Amino acid sequence: MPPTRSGLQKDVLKLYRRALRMVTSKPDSVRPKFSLFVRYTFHQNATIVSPRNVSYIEHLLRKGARQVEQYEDPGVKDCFVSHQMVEWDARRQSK
Amino acid sequence: MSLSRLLPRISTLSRVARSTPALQTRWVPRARYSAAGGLSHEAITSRILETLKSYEKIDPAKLSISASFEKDLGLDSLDAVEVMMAVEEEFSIEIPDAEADEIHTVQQAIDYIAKTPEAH
Repeated sequence: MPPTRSGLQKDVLKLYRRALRMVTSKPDSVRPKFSLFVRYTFHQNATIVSPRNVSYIEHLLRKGARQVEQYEDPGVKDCFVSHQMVEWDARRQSK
Repeated sequence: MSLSRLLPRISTLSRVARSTPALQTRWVPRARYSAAGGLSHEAITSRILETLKSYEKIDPAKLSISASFEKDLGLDSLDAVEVMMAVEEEFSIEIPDAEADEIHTVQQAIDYIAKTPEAH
């Protein structure tokens, strides 16, 4: 049985795909940074935000869509990676 | 960048070209026309399994063709998207959102690649 998904969940996954495609358009040298930023942001929000908090998720979707749109600009050549992101990734890899 | 993207395509082309005469000698060449562009089912399966193995959250011991990403491999929906993006990259294709939403098992991923002629 395939899992049934709400329209909201599909929208989130759609934005996630778009964000990950944006990552692949970046130069190899900075791609891991963009990738970590995108993966961290989505996974972190997915853990923190309750799935019932629909209006907040919609807000995050709009915010995310704007941000991805900005990042899709080839002029954006680097992105900020925080200490927490690096630690989160290390924890994930070790599991 | 453009050259490195071209190279695998050139090699695929030549592979197709080499295998074509063999196909024509088959007694029903027409039956072969719908086959995915030169990719055998075994090649697709092994390449997909390789791709999945390299994903950090997948336990290779649990990996099988019939495994479901979320139920058997313990991925959440975000992880499943990441895995399918890795598969897309491996076969240099882009799966449209509507169709990607329908892929929940390793078998479905293999079937999708098999029916996608652009995959190589």
